[in-house]
Amino acid sequence: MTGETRDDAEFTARALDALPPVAASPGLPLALMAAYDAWQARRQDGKRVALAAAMRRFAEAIWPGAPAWAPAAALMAALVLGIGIGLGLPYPGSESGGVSLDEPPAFSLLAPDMTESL
Amino acid sequence: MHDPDAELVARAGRGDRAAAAALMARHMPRLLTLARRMLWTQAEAEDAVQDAFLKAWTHAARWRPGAAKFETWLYRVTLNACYDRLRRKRPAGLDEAMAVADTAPAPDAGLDAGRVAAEIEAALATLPERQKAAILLCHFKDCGNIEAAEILGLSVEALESLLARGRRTLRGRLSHLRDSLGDA
Repeated sequence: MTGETRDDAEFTARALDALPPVAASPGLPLALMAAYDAWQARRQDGKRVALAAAMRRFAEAIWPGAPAWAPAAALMAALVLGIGIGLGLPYPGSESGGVSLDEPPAFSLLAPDMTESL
Repeated sequence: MHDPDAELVARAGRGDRAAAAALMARHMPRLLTLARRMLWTQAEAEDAVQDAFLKAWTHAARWRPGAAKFETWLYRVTLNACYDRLRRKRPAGLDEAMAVADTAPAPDAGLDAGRVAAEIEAALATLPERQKAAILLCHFKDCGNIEAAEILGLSVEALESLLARGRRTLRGRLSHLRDSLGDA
């Protein structure tokens, strides 16, 4: 830095130091935090909207063109049916007719009157 | 690169209001001073700072430390908000304020602090925006040339050139205040 450039810099620094300090109006910090709160609220709304959109996309993928309740009802019916069948099936090895592949079958496909003739 | 704001930004992005308040308290005073010296009025300066913080809140959740320091980015956003306002129509009354410097009789005689400040502001207002930004940034942020160049998106050599030309112009325009400012 040359002497003249240094003098310019020093003069400029003195000039800027002579300016009065800048104070924020009382409303500025409040406005900035209100902006933060508003952004947070928008963000939460955005998450809800994104979840709803994802559910709509899923419904459209499994049943295109149907109203939202249709795939939901179909899924619910499938769930109820699956659980019902699962509960209705007997446990393996129970008295009520479990099937084991290790034992010969306890039934025949032939008519009862034909078994003797064979 | 260590970013002292990284943790606060991450917390603010997760919805921590106290972290957002701490970020604001840390940066708002200097940003406001910079904006006030760049612009015509206090109201415009506060609007520019508000714009910058709005962007900061919006970006906080997506902020990834490493590329640049948050503070550097925040100053850049604030300066851009100032440039936008400077490029709009000058408010009425500015020309009167600038005329104060031109019509002052007996320049050094009996200038009070308010009048000196008004003349300095008027001289600053005549500088090209990049020169003004470089001078104000180096002075009020108290940062080195490397950081100031990064904020302004310039090479260090280009920044030094802006500083030299701006300071020379300012000193020339305020030469009648040499005694008031204690110039040798």
